[in-house]
Order: sequence, then structure tokens, then C-alpha cells
Amino acid sequence: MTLSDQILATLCKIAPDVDPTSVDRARPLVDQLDLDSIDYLTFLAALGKEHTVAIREVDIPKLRTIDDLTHYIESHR
Amino acid sequence: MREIRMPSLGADMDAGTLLEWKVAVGDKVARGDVVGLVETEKATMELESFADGIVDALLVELGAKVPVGTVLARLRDAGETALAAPVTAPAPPVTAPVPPVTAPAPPARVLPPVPGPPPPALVRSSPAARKRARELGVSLTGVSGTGPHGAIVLRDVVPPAPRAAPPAPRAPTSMRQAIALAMSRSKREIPHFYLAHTISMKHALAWLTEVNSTRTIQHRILPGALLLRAVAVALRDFPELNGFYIDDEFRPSEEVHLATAISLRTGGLIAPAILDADEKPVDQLMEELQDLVVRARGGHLKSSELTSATITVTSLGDRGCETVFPVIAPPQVAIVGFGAVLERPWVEGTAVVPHPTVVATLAADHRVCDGHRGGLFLATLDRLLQEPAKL
Repeated sequence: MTLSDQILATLCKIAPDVDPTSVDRARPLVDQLDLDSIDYLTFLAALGKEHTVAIREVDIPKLRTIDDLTHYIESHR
Repeated sequence: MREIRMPSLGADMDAGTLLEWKVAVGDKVARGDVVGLVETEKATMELESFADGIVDALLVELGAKVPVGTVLARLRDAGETALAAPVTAPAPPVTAPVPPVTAPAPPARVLPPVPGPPPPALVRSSPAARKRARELGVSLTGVSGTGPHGAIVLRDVVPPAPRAAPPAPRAPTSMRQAIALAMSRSKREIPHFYLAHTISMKHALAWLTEVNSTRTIQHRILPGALLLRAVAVALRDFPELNGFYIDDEFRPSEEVHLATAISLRTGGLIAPAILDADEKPVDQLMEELQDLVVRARGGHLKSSELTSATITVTSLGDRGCETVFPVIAPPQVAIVGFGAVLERPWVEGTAVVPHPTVVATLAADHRVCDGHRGGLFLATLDRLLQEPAKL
């Protein structure tokens, strides 16, 4: 499983109503999937824990897509 | 003997379907333990025991849809003798629409005993078979079991035969029907009044930025949790907004069980409560809010969270519009709304400067209180949010 797939799997745990096959990994997740701020924070927190990456407060606005998150985790772990 | 009954999710719920027992006869249960799984029109919820005891009898078969208040199980104290047979016949499964509820009482109403047919034998089934039956949407009633002692096992559960005609494509979902019932009743019976007040969030957001800067993302606090905290604290001085209107009288609640509306992407919304919210600091509210949202999306809310709300908060979030005019969820008597936090011109001394602001709204029941007190409540909310560190 690629890192991108793992991130998607984490998202589907936080938002079990999301169909993983429908997710465009290059499009912002919040608008694409109608995630609310609690969903997104819980998702980022879960990613930080699973990949032992400390996601900084200032970086959050830049982490909008699965691709953004993949690059961020790859370069910070 | 104590009884576990089909709980009510509110004015709009008349019946529920028992999906699963998580306990067996003879098991010891404590107050708050999850004993089963119940499906309603709005959600699947975990059924909790409201007492300590030993499971004496499970009285309703799996898959049966029974009216709110029906005794589902009986508990006995450790010293009590087990009863050989059920003392009350289970209520018959609902086959026709249940008459409209006229006077629901949270958390669960007790219906008078309904004379019914002889109690059906309990269906023995394996967890895997029950899971499969739920997935296929079939009832285990009438299925012949081939497992030990006639228990229904996985291989016995087969998909239902194809239907002759597909369901009506434009029929409203049960969730939409449940919302329609509750909101129609609210608009029909509750004389709402509405108040709005714009609150500066400058100090609140600055405080959150400072607090969050020293925290990991796992412990970050969102503005929504701070708003919930402010509402819970403000309610201490406004008991007339917290409680229920039942049988032509207001029954204030000692506890603040704060429901928060969660929009479901599958359609509709659900409003589980954070229990005793006024006694919980903002960190704990944030943690519980996150937990509630995850469980609401996964269908794992507890019956107490869905039946005991004393007031509701609806927050439109970052992507919402500036003001919400919410509708009270009966039998509650008030609902507080928050629009999106937006930058607006704000008079500070003699200058007009940009401030982050939120429009707080209150819809309240005129049978219980008036605009004057409602206005004071919103002013209190404003005052509390100007000193967030003290919250």
C-alpha cells in the first residue's frame, strides 16, 4: 500500500461515509467531500499519530489534498 | 427487577428496531454499559443500561420493530431470584404507523403495557449471522438455524429474493421523514422568538492561537469548542432556556446536556449531546466533540447521547453563512446558533477596524421566557467570550 493509499484509508476511518474510489487525490478534500473542521482536524491528528509526524499549526492551511499530505509526510518523517 | 426499554430519540421517534443484543441472560451489567444495538429512523444507536443488575430476560427478538417504551430486557439484583418465564408479553412488532406522539418525556417514555400475542421464542444466532443479516437488510425471524441447538449461523442467512417492483425512487428517506415530523411539530406548537447578536471574536481567537501554538495537533482546540463552553457556562444563569416543555408545563433541567447538530453527508443531521457540558473544561469539550462527530459518522452513538439533550447548539462552521435562524427541537425550549466567524468592520474606541466576529442567535420558546431574558443570555455569552482564559 502506498503512502497515498494509507492516507486515504485513514480518511475513510474518520469519515466512513466517504467512498474511497471517488476521491480525487489532487483536489482539496474539504470542498470535495464536504468535511467539516472537526473531521479535518481529527483526520490530521490521526495522520500525525500514525506516521509520527508533528504537523505544525502554521502548515495546516497548506495541507488541502491527499497529494499535499503525501508530500508533507514524506518530507517530515 | 428493573427494565430496559426502547428509548426515544425525541418527539419524532415512535418506534425502534432491535438489531443486536450484546449481553446474554445471566450477564452482569453496570449502569452505562452497552447492552444492545437499536436502529431508529434517524440513526443506529447503542442501547445503554440505566441500572446495575444481572440480565434476567431478553424479551424482544432481534429484528423486531417495537414502540418506544417497550420493555426490551429485564434486570434483577444480585440477590433476586431469576424468573422462570417472562412476566410481561413483549409488545407486538409495529405493523402499522404508530399514532403521533402527543407528550414525549425524555429520556424515555413508558407506554402502558400493550396486550400482545404470546411471546415469540428468542432467536439464537451467531454474531456473524447477525452482522450478515444487517448487511443484507433481512430479518432473522423465520430463518431456520442449522447451528448448535438450532442457532442461526452465517450459512443460514441468505439474500432476500428480488422484489417484483423497485421502491419508489423519490420517496423521502426515513431520516428526512423524521426531521420533517420533528420540525413540523416544532413550528406548529412552539411559539418561537428569535434574537441575534454580533460578538467580537478577536480575544477568543487570539487566545486560541496562543494556546494552540504550544500544543500538538492532537490537542488543538477549535473555536466551536470554545463556543460550546461559553453556552454551557452562560446557561447556569438562564435555567429557563435549559429543559423541556412537556404536558403544558416547563420542566427545567438541573443538568446541561448540550446537543450539537452534526450535518451528515449521507443526508440529514443528527444532534447528539455532550452530557453535563457545564462541568467540563474546554479541552474536554473539544475531545468529546471530536469523538461525537466520528461516532455520529460511523453510527455508534449511545442512547443516552441521543435522548437526553436539554438544549441544542447549531454551528455553521467556517464554510457557512453569517447567520442561522434555528428551529427548536421539541421538547427542548431553546436552540443557540452560530454563523461562520467572519471579518467585519468593528468600532474600537473612535476607529473602525476589522475584527473577526460571529453572529450568535437564539431561538427560544415564548411559552417559557421572553426576549428580555433571551437578550441577556446573548449578552452574557458575549461577555464570556471576551475573557476566554476564564472559561
